[in-house]
Amino acid sequence: MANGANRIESLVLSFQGGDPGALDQIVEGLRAPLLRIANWILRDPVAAEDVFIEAMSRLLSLLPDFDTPANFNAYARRTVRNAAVDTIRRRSDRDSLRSLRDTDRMARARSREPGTFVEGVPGARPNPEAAAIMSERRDKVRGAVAGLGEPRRTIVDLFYQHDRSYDEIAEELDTSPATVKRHLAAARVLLAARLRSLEGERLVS
Amino acid sequence: MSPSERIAELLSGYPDQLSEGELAELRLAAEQDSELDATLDAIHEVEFLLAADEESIAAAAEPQQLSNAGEQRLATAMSNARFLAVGAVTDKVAVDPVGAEVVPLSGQRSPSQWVGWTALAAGLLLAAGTVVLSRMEAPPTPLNPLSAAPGAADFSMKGEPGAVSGDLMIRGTGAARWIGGEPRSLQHAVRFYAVVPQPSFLAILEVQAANTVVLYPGPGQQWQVAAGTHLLQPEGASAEYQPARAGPATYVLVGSGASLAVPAAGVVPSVEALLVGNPGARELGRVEVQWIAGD
Repeated sequence: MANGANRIESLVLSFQGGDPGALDQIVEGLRAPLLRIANWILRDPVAAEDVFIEAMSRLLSLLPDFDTPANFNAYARRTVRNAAVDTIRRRSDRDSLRSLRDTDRMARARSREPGTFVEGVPGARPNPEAAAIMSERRDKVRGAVAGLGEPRRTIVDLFYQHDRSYDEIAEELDTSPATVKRHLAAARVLLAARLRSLEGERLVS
Repeated sequence: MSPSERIAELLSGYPDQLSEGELAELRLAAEQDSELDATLDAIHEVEFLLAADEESIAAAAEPQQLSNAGEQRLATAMSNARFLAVGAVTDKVAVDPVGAEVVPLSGQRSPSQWVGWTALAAGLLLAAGTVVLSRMEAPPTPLNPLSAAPGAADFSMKGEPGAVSGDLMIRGTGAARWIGGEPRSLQHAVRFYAVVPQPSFLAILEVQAANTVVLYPGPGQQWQVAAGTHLLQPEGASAEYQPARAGPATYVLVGSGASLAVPAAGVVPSVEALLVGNPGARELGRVEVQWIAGD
């Protein structure tokens, strides 16, 4: 992460110093991590692309005069994260996000064939190594769920593994949907801290 | 309440259970605390991983590529940044070769630079005006293409056309996933997305069983959009669409820099006829769907 940020910093300085070629490297360096953040939050490659492009348009317009190049990488991540969160908050309800998880999941990554619907993008390269790392992270997170106290462990399990809605979980546990939401949010914070402590590094690289 | 307790309280509602003020407070704190900033990222990754199956893990591990329209929008943003950088660099300082003095150049731009800046400013004003106009346009009407009775086309050109580009995307809805190329049950709907890298006037047509109809906009209306990705969702109507009958259907996105004239009944002899009736209009994308009865 630090290396990536340092590289972006030096590229920003190069661009501001008059090297137009540095801009291509800045965009390429930011593209994958920023799209990944947008996809984590939105679970929708179409919406993620839109958020990414809008954010990049703003970021690049600021780039020539950005006065703290060392912070540009973090600033870019925050910009995309905030824009994606604002997008899901504008949706009518939280559960609308869940429906997207099962809808044409990442169809964009498939290669385009004549007469097929694939989001209008060329094919992406399979990356088994990255998938293995991500699977390992997922296993760590799910392993950490077992360490949660009740009722959080049950709520997380029902929400993520059994695809129950807030209302359904609240009814099953005889509590309110607001309480379910608070437990889920608290569980995510605990799991995030647990995963970060296991790895000793940021999850976004 | 201590600052750390306050942050813990805010995190317990992040991201969807906070008020706008609370969210702004948390974001400000994250700007000043890299650990908190990283925690916010981690929360989002945790939620993704908790819900992820093998398929989504594999897909997320692949580098997502942008649509053609997305690449064009990104290229435009990069081009603007390069242009701004030229001004920024020359605005900073220049070393006088004789006296070795620092000379600000902000008041010494060349005529060509002024032309460039003026063009950029005009472009920004045009874009802003287009956004305002698109927000002021009349609300669209519900999709109801098959209720339109056949009738004679009534084409008329309105305004000067401009070259446009873009693409059409179709997605499944809700839990009814759909991968392009697979047959689609009539019991499940789809949604239409138009992706354009510039402000455009758009229309979506359906070609099925030799019938070509304009799904949207309705006669006398316009679908005017700014650059970006736009879900077709007529006001007061669902964005989900299902045709009335099974069989192969082709959906075509037509775009123009000028307003598009749609025949009175929404029925056209062909896509080409609509293009001929609207000089400057182009086919931006098409997607075929095999609609089938039953599940």
